[in-house]
Amino acid sequence: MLSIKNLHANVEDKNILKGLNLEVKPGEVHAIMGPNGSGKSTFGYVLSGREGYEVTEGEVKFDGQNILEMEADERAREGLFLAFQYPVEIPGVSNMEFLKASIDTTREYQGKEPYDAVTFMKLAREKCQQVNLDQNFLKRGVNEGFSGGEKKRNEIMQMIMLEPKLCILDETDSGLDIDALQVVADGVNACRDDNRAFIVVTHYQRLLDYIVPDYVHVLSDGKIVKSGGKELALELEEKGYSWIDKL
Amino acid sequence: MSNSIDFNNHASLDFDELSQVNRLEWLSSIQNDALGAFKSMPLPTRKVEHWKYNDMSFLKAQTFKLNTNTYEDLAVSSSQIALPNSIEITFINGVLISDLTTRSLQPGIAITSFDSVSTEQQQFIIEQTEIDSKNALDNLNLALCNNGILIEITKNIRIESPVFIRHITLDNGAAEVTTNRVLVKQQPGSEFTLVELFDSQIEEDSTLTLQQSLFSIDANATCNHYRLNLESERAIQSSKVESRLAQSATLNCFFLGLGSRLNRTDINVKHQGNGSHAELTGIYLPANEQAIDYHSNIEHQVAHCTSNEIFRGIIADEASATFNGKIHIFEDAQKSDAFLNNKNLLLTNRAEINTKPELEIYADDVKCAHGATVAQLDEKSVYYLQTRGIDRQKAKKMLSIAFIQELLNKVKLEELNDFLTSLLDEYMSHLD
Repeated sequence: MLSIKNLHANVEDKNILKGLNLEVKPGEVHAIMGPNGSGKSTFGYVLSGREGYEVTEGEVKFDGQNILEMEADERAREGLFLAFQYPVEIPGVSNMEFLKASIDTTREYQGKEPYDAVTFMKLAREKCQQVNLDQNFLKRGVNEGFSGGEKKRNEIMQMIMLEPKLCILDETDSGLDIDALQVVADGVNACRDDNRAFIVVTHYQRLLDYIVPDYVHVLSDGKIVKSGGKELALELEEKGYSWIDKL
Repeated sequence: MSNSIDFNNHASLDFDELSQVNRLEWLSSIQNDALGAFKSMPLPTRKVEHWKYNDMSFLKAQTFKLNTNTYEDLAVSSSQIALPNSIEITFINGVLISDLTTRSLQPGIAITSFDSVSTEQQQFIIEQTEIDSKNALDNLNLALCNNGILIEITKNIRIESPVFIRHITLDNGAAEVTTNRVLVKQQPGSEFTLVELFDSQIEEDSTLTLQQSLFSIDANATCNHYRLNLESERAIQSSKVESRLAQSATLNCFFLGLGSRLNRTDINVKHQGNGSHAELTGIYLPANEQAIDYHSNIEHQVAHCTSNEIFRGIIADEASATFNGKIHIFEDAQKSDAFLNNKNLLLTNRAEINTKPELEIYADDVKCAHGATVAQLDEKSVYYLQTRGIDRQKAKKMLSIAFIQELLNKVKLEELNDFLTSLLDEYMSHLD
């Protein structure tokens, strides 16, 4: 589904990703762990197509297509979803209006039937409930005045509604208490199936107790330096990131 | 005799040399005073503070014909907005074309044109008319204007139907000056709504519209005023909107500036009775090379009055906008509460905004706040919307509409709100 070969990327002329390789198949959950400044967030931004994140070398194929030439919105409509570490607040655009615009355009692009207004409302309310968000959130501005946890749950709610093929979760656990973490993890786990893949980017092993990965990769200085099964996360937790420097 | 105005020789302008139609004897003394004031003042140029940000060089670049057309047989094109149940009045190039004498209105409202006002009404109009010490073009309007109406609302009456004035500008074969005045007299406890639409349909000529709307709002009365400028690229306007509020009177006004080569509107609010309240809301959206300028001056002349003014602008392409908002608290105006805020969004790096909030306070027990911001669309927000499949153009449109949505919500007339929502949606779709 996702094939990344020798990916190099710059941010403001600074080289952040330095030859990253990753293969993700449908149904798999990959965790990417790494210390601060290793390039974790940059990785998510580069894949999603953020302006100012310049790919200097390598290739990224998503379902066989070169996505590096696509705009961020086109990648999203192709089925790539990035859940943000810090979702932005957009006062004046209601959550409902935003969701409707997002889902309508995505479903149209993917050749799916559009939702009629009633079905859409019903679905949006249902998914709100699923991630434990009050329905009033739909009427409020996008993330406006939401707590950290509410923002993260809103991201997961959007993910569920958009039904993407590949979900990248960028430190979705940061700033969450245990209960919120459980809600977020339940949302993610409910989406897991044989056709959908996840890349879970995180500092801590804790999230991986809730979202159990098939593979764990360690990112250091813009490269994946070690890969393994879920037990690698536990080993990292025990030995710390300084351990990988010695590898 | 000639019927043109040459701004290169404005000091020698003389009524005897103008072939004006329908001169009104009872107005002549005021008109003479106003003309004298106009001739003795410097013309607006960038050298004068009050006109600093307006390019007025067009004044001297051509001679302007004075409109003498009475449009008696003209079929009026349908307006952009339909307001069912409204009392519709149409001016074309400043000239009243609606027949007010045959109209049957609900009790409590009277609308009379300047050529048929009673002696008592004449007296009221004369009393309300003031020479402007800063605005030469307003004085020119007073000097030349024989086209005006007086709207009167009776004590303790609430008029359900809005009055809808369409100020239409049409090509007339040459550059032209049009003049017009609307006066509103609200008796105590009355309530009414006025919608003014400036709908310029000029494609060839440069038309300079001089217009003045004056509101006298008596004790406990409420006035809702919507003033919409939906102008063509050639329209030039210099106008004045002034409201005088008596005790516990309320003014709710909404301004929208869209289009026009230059739209300069001076908004004056005078709190003259304790406990009056003014709510000013405005949106300006210049694009291409258009220029829009709102100059407001709120005077708290007496104690215990409140004002809330919010203007927002989105400036596209190479357009420019000016917002000058002044709050003036007089010495006796203790316990005044005034708030003023202006926010601007520049869509390109060639777009220009000149914003100047001003406070002038002579009382010591007041609460005043003012602020202004200038920003560009937040790239992070655009990117966030893009990552949810929304294309860049649409994302920018959503964010632009969001910027003014809060103000649009203040339009309480449902048909008008619907119209403006779709108008702005359409307008934003064409922005880069």
